[in-house]
Amino acid sequence: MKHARGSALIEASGAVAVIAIFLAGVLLGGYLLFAKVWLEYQGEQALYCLAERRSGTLCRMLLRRKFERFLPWGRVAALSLRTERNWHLDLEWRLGGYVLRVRRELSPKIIVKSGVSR
Amino acid sequence: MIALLALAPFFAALFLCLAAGHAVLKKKSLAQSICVAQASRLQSELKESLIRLLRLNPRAAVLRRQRAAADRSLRSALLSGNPYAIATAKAVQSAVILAQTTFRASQLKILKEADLTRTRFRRETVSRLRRVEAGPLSTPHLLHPLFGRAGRARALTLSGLRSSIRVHASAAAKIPLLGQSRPARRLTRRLPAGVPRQSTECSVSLEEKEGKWDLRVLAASASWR
Repeated sequence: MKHARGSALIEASGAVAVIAIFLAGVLLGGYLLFAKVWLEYQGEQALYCLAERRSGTLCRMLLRRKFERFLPWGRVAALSLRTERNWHLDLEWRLGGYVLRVRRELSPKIIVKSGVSR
Repeated sequence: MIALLALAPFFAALFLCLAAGHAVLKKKSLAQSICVAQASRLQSELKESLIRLLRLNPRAAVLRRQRAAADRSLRSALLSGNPYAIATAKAVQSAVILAQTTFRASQLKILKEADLTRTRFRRETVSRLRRVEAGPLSTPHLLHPLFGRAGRARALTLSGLRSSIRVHASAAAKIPLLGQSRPARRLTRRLPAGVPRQSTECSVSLEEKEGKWDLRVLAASASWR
């Protein structure tokens, strides 16, 4: 009878690889979903920071700190937080080839109408 | 395939965590925007009351001066002992007191309307926050006086009106709202004391610039404590 020592290991390694790739994909998807929600939420907080008349530099610094703390992978490729007639946020975040863009605007009129415009 | 099925609880847990996190942040964001929006709308309505009250200030100053003059005249007349002079001075003083009483009534009417506006907004805000299940509202601050410095509001006395309420032009109204997002009461009892709670405190004021009153957000950020 031919022995099949090692064939189970070979089969198992294939299955483990598939599972690992699948798991990595799911975890990456979860991380990106979290990143999207977190960026949008913190972007709003940054606009409220400007609305409180704190300096743009301080608000940008606080925003970056929140990103660095909770999004260890990925980087902020572009960040514009400015006060013109209204308060504006333009944010671009990248992880590999994936790009997340967040654009928000806030003004007293928008506040009274309830909430940050999307 | 079986191995993937074995990981199903892990995927389910991951999905639940993401969904819960998303729901919490969404609720927080909504509660925060309701808080700031309601405070801003309230101040916009109270602005009208503020402007009307400030317009009454010159008249209040005139009445104070007239009252002071009438009091001085009465004192002089009493010192002179002349009954005609005393009667005339008393009549003038009574007329000024009557004018002050009427004037004060008009000021109080405006303040009462402002009070009713605040009460209405408090109810609206509580109702809106309840809809997003944002937890209880700390009410005392919402009933903060309309004006930070309400001037020298002296009490009415039976013998006569002492003074009218005077509102300073630099007054600002702060209506802080404290909304707290927390789990249902049942779950809260089980949470240990050290678990951070999230709260939103917002404060909106009115600021005068070049004769116009504009909204000014004093606080709108969320905090964890």
